[in-house]
Amino acid sequence: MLQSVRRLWWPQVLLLLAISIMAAWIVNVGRPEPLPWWADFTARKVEESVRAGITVLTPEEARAALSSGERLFVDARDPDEFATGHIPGALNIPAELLATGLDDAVSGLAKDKPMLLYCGGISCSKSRELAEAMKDMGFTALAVMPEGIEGWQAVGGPMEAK
Amino acid sequence: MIRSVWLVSRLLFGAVFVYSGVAKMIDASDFATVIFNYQILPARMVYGAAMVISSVELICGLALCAGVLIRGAALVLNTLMVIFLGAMGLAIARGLDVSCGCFGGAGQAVTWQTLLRDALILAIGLVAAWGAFAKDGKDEEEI
Repeated sequence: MLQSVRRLWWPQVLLLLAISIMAAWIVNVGRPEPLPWWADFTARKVEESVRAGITVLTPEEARAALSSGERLFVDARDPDEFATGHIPGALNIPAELLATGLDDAVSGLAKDKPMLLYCGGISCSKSRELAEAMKDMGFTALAVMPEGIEGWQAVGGPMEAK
Repeated sequence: MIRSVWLVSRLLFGAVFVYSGVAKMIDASDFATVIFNYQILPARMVYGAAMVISSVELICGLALCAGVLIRGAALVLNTLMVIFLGAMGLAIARGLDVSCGCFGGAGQAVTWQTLLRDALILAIGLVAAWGAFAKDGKDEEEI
């Protein structure tokens, strides 16, 4: 038995995979916040925003908000991504400013101005991070669109390039 | 001579995976985001895949460095490497703007350079596997 484990590759592969899965499980149990083994990742991203107390809008709702003009759209992506295309009228506040300070970028904005923050797509967390930071600064009417610009384009939302 | 080449490539290949496995394990949530971004796996499997892949990298990397179960470890890691290369190639072909996630974290974007670097790592891995299989089962005693 031991001899065959040493000579053949497939018992080795099985053994290594079994050890790996066990190690992954043990490490996960030891995490401060264990990750779910089977959970919808998309829903998790939306939950993160909800848990942070930020309103979540779908791309359809965002389109309605754009037509009514009730919200200022804020693009949290980098300036070069913003330049290639963004939601018409959006203001670019790159989330990278979180590292250096947001004060200048948001100084001209009223704290109670309704805003909608977005970034690249469901896998991008920049808009949520920016929203959390702005909420801490006292902004009261923030919303995020977790599906981001990808979700926006998927529902045929208009784009503007600059 | 060829034995030292095998040994060096095995240690190097193993060390690369120990490093990247640990980095991905620490940032498993970020790594899950990276996997999700590649749009290959269903959204429900993303967390599980992130945890298992990082763990497989670490365990098999350690096995290669320690010289235990090296045939299995070399096979698993080379297979993983081919999957990574395929995923990156697919991402480039589909024009996805994804971060490579190669050594954990989300910094580097997938480009031809990351593809080339991974191809080089695969080449080292293949040499390591050649060494593991060439020694007719006497690997552990000889090194």
